[in-house]
Amino acid sequence: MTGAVDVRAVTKRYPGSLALDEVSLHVAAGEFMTLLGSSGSGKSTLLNVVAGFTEPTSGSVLVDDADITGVPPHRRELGMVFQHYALFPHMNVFENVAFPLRRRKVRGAELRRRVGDALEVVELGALGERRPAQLSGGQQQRVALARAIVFQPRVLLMDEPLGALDKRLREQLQLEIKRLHRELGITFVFVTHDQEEALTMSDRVALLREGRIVQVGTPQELYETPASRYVAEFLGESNLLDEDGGLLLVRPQHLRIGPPDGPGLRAVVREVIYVGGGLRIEVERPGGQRLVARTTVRPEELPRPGDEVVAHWSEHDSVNVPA
Amino acid sequence: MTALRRLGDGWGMLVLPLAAFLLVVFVYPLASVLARSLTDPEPGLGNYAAFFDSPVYLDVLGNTFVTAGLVTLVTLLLGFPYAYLMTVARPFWRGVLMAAVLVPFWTSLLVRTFAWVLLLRDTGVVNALIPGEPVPLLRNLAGITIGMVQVMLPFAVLPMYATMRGIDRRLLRAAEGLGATPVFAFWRVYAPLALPGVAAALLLVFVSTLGFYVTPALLGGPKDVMIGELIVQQLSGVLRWGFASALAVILLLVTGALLLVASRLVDLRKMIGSGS
Amino acid sequence: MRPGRIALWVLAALTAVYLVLPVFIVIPTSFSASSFLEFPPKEWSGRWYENFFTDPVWLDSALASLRVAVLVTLLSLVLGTAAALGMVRGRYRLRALVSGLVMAPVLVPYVIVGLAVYATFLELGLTQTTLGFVLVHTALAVPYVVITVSSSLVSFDRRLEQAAMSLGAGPVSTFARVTLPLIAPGLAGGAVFAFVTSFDEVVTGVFLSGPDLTTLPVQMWSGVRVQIDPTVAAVSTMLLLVTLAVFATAGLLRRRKS
Repeated sequence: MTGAVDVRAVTKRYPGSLALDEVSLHVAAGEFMTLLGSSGSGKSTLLNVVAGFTEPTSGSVLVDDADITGVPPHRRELGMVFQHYALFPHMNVFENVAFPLRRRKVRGAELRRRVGDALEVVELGALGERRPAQLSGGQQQRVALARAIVFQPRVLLMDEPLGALDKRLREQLQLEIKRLHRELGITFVFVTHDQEEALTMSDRVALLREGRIVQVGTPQELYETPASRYVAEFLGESNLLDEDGGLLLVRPQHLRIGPPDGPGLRAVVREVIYVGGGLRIEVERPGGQRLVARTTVRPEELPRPGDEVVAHWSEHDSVNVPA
Repeated sequence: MTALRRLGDGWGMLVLPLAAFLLVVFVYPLASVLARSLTDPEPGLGNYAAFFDSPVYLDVLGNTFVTAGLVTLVTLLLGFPYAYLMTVARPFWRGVLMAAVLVPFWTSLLVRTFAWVLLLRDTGVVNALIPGEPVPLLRNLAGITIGMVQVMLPFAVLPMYATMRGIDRRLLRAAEGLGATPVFAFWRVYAPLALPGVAAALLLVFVSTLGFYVTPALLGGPKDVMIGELIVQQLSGVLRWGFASALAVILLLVTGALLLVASRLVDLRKMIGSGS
Repeated sequence: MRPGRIALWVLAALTAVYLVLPVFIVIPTSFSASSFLEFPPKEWSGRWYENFFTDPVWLDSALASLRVAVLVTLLSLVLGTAAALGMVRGRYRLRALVSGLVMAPVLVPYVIVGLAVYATFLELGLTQTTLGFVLVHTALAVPYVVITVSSSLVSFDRRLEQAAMSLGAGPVSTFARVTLPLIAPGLAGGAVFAFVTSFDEVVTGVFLSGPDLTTLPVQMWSGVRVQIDPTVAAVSTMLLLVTLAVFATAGLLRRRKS
């Protein structure tokens, strides 16, 4: 399998700012890697460095051990799906998907077959004659996907491809992109600011902050053993407790709320909200710190705002976080 | 990546051919006019002295300013209500008003000037409608004004409309909701917001009229000579190159100063482009 | 409707009539049989149209104008599009000065331009030549091309170019297949402006024209100024109809597209 991407000590300096600070990252062939971060973290800059649209100030990018740092984007043979799709408005769906093939001198029946196949893969076989403006957001996204994979690139880069879609459509396309990844078996590098999306889709996640990678790992590693307070707070809801100079992380689903006479941290219930299948209970400790518990409790034990309670957890559910 | 970097620098280089072209075809000739005004027939400020010493020439300059002022005033009086109405009219009528502005904008200047000759002659249509002795409308200030205002109205209405369309009309309603009468709201809220665009449009009209040649030359009379026509006269009749050049420099300086004021008010490029 | 609003409409209606009507008065006049201009004509004829198409002076000037305007359109499209690309996308020194230079030809009174190029072109032997006219008219027309093309470039989504490159298109093919088709409306607008600017330009023409080469507007100019030649009415009518036809076609095309 091919398509391994190596980013080696890449720095990108703009006048007055440092977008990437000595970033190194290895993406294995066939892996689904997500670059996660808030806006300004450098995740899009990193993707653009790999794609070739941004030239790094220093450092290098390798694909399958070949240095491509100075290679212009159109010779990199990497597929890319853009934010807001970047479909060519003056071409219909077929011509959009055919574009990369025509550039590679694919003609005639071969062209029609491959475009048809790509459109089948994204389940848009019948819409070849339409213009991009006549498609829904979800359909446009699929065309952009078909166009990026039709020339069989070794790596597919995606820059917040689902950002413009509503929640249900986004979740549906997340599953389709996962399916596509399985079927094609090529490397995916996916950029998003949505931590839920990152955790659902990726083999591994690289979390960026202020131009640096703060942690790389599987979604489970990042969620369960965060390397810092920032990682813990970025991924999901978290309760962070100061303990002898260290930090203790207890996820809301592991925090239990009990009667005030039991062992644990004393607190007062502030809010009780019914969410989906369970309850979200927010309590306040004497110092003012708020803790969150997610639980499914029986109605007769339902705490009310103002009740005195105790928050506790079992030791194997808590994690020490480097401060 | 160096390829793309070179391309980035390459974009900037694309300005060079046009810049070089204009330097040769446009800037160099203008610079020679300036040089000529100071050297022909002999070095010194003689040409400028001749201009400022002669009441005849100063009259022409005064005349030019008076005409431009009058044209600007009439353009404002007709153009402002027109542009305002375009912002409140229903789409169909807005389209009609817009078309009426664009027809003269896109028809040949000579065709229009020629039409005015037909209309304003002693035996023309307008005088046929007025009972009694023919009213002199051609070869005088009235003729120039009628012709020039028609030329200038599109250049005033289009940018004024663009400015006024951008004003949030809810502000007027808010002002009225706060107790202002519609008239008060108009003058205290709407007019100040429209002012920069309107002022710049009028300044452009004034400047363009100053340097206009065709319409004044065809519709004006011997007493209404403007500076543009004087420049041509100095060349075609008496071949006073140096003096004609000095006149051009004076007109250029006045124009440049007024445009500088206009550019402080608005983006001139948008004004020029608003006809498209 | 409030009385104020009614007054406003009356004023606007009169203004609209004032703007449009004079333009159309030339049409009936052009069909007059009289050697003097009359409106309304007492007798009708097509003799002034015949005069236009048989008099070599008129025909030559029309052909000269057409030739000049086409060349001006091509030259200013090339220079203007390149400059617009540079100004919108590039980094270059002396930005304010360069954009001032590019806009200057629109702002300097044409009389001054005419005087200036006349003096320079006399020395170079460029007066009364096609080249001389093309050079001057291009300088006057090119700012409009820069403005229209720049505005379509500003609204152009550069990600489309990145998409094309990521899909394997080189810089040239990206420009030809993606950028150019999408900024084509801006180019077309600029071309129309450039053509009209050149075809309608009198003032610099008055300086540069002579027995060897006279453009149509200059011919019309002397047809009105020196002696009133009714052929001018016929030419005006034809120009008017061409303009209206162009606009009607453009309108129809736009409607069909949307």
